[in-house]
Amino acid sequence: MALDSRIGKLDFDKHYAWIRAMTQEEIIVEVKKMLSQRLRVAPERVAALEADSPLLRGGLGLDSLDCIELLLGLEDEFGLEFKEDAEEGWIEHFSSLERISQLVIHMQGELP
Amino acid sequence: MAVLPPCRAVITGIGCVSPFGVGGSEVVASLLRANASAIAPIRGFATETFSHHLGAEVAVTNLVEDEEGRRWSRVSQMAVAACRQAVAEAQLSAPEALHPFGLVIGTEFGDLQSTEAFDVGFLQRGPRGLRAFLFPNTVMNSMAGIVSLALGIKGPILTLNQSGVAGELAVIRALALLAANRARAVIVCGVDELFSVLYETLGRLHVLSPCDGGDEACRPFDQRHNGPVLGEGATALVIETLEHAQAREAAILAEVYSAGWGAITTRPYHYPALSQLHYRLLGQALASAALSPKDFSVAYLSGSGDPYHDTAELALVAEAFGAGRPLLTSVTHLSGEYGSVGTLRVAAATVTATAGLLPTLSYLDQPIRSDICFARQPGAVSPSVILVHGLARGGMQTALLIGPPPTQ
Amino acid sequence: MSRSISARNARNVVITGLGVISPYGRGCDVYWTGLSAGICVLGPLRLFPTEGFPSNVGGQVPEETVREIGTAQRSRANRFLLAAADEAVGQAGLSRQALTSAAVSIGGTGGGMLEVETWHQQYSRQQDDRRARSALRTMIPAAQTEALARRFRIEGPRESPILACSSSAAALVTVADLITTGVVEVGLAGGVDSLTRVCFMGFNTLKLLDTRPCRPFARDRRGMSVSEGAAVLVLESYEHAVTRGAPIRAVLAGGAISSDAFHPIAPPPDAEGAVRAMQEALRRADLTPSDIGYVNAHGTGTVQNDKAESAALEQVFGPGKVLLSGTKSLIGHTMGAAGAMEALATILALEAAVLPPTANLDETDPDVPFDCIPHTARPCVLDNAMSNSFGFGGQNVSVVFRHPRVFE
Repeated sequence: MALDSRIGKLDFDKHYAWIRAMTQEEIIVEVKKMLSQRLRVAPERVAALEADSPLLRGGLGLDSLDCIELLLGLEDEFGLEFKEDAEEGWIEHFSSLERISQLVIHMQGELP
Repeated sequence: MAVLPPCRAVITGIGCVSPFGVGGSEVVASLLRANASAIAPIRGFATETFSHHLGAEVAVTNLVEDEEGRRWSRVSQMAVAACRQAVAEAQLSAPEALHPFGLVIGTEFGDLQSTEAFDVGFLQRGPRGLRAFLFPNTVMNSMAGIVSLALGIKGPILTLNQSGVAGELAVIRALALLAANRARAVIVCGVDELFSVLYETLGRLHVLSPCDGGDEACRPFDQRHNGPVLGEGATALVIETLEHAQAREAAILAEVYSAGWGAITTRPYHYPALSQLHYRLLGQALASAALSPKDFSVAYLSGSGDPYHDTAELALVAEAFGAGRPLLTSVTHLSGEYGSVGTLRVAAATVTATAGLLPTLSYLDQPIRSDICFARQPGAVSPSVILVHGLARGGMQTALLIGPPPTQ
Repeated sequence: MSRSISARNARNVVITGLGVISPYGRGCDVYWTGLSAGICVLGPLRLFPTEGFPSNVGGQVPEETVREIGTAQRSRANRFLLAAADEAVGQAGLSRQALTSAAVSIGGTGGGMLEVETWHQQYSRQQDDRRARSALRTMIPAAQTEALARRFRIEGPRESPILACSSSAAALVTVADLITTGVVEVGLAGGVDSLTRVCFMGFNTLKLLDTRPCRPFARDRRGMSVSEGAAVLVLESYEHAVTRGAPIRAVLAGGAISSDAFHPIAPPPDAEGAVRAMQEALRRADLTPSDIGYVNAHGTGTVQNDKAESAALEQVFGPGKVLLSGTKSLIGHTMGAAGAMEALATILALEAAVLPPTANLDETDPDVPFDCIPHTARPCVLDNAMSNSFGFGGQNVSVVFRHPRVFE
């Protein structure tokens, strides 16, 4: 699935400049915090997650309501902006920590 | 005022999440035996700046497993835990056993705590502060949705909102579902929680003790009564047709003989004045069950400690029964007052009907009427017909007639 | 082909009064004129600031209607409901005695939350005053029901069912049950919701709102449009209506409520709960799917809901076997009022022999194998129609209406 058709233009301001410099590992750390603070996943389950652990059905069990909350978290914490008309299957971007960090990195790379 | 058509309905399970513990009818029995009030200084939130500080809190926190209840608000967790206890007591653990069951939740404020938190997110940070999680909880049917999910209930599902008698209304609607043949069994749960913002603001609206500026206490029917003290909890009941219960050889705790409800027109948000009272409901409820006042041993009242509430309710009951009988009692001094405490009243009446235990109004030194018998001394009653009476702010009135399990 | 009801069945439930407040304005005439002309009244909301949110499109009761209704009541929801009830009760011409013993059931989700939000804003800055705080007295949905009962001095059974989007449809079903089981002869059933910031913000946060007027069943649909309104229907037993010579507008032939027990907000892909609700409604109406000519769909315009609903309709009726339209395309999603407002639209459609269209439907989703009556109303003489509401939290209600000619 091409990301470009679904990703809006970034709107960084200086306050978020540091996000541009984040590595994948650092992004994963922040997303793990979101899992525990926003989604209330138990700390031991968050700690046990690897970068490729399945987060959706069959894994951590996150559903569409959880993914919306995560998406809002990414918008808020990383200054990202998602287009409103997301296609069906958009939650696959949240299927693992690795995929979420790839999404953030891709949007990091979109300089105005 | 109206009463339901005769329909032999029985109670086969009780579940309780309360300041007295979490469990089935044994929690209710032990609270009646101990007769110890759960009202104490609030510990769950700060009350220093408020004019009132007392409440009856549910102290238990881990009501459901973390993983399952991750997104469930506290009030939903209370409802799930209470319903599970009731279902376990009724021995309904087979997979899919609850698919055809109905579910009725009664509540006064629902998940107001989540609504407030949702709005706070916006007030503090604008649109970015809004939490998607919280929004489904802002409509009062969220607890019913979560209970139905957790227990696999797929029959008719309703949430009834009401102040004062939400629990009783839920029981009556469950009986109406049975009478209309929409289900053979219904899980009923009354649930409300204490919430700091509401607690503070109700006090500032002068509807809580001490509304006369005196000392803060819960003293329904006493001359010193000066307003209710709030509590919280979830009490669930399994109610089935007699036929359904017998077919699955369920242990029956009590039978419901008759149910009626209606309202007395009064000023907005007020209890009826004595001049506004009429006495149709109790007469109709007794007639529908072919009972007379002398058949009753006990009546549970809903009087909250609000002087108008207590006065109006005693007038209604005294008119229906005359002097002396039945013995009047209440759970409010033990549990505190909340809109859906009625299911706890029904659960207590169920235990009274089976085991003869009843709460004692030991605080009642100066009753507002001397021509009425209150249960002021410890003692048991022989199982007999029990009235569970409800009167709410705004004039809603309910009557449930409960008795021992039918003899085989 | 339809079969006539036995005209001597005294407990059939008939509709003898209709009243509505909608984004078209005040009253049934204005409502029907708008619906039958296919006029979509959705546009930028002006009731409160909408900056910072992806969608600002919805339905709003016109300001001139709100002014006309007056400010006698404390909350917007109260005002809408009483105005709708005035019309319905006026039309039905009920006696004072009939009203006193009537049942009343009003569904809603937000209650008086709009005014409470204003208070909460002040409270969060410690600036709330007594006047703002008094908004809490009309906060819960039961307060609207109480105001309606007090207006007409109704003292019969009273309920405030909360089933999210299905609230007022559930009110219709439960009041009909009270009539068929002989508890009451007359009942007022309906619903109300005013726009609230919480509702607007919440659906925006869940990304369920279209940035254009909603497009139910369209290939390119992108979500709902929030809205507001109120509707009240007078229900009576056939016997009571005929005895007093009341004009019979429709027959409420059958209804059902079911639970999905699947997810807090998403419907199950197989729409199993919705299928059960429709099948039971038909069974209780003593009709088969082929007897139904038109379904007034829940049709919110979200990708998931419309897809699930279409799958359910396909299962019950067969592809293309029934005409369909979505009233929400014209007036938006009126939340707790939707069930009653759409039932009203269904009844008016049967009466006028004209089916309202689905607006904004340039191209029907190829996965929806039904004629959804795009853009223009369809003349069609029918005896029987169905109205569906499938609420958040998997709480489904389906109601079947028949034209009164079936009594002949």
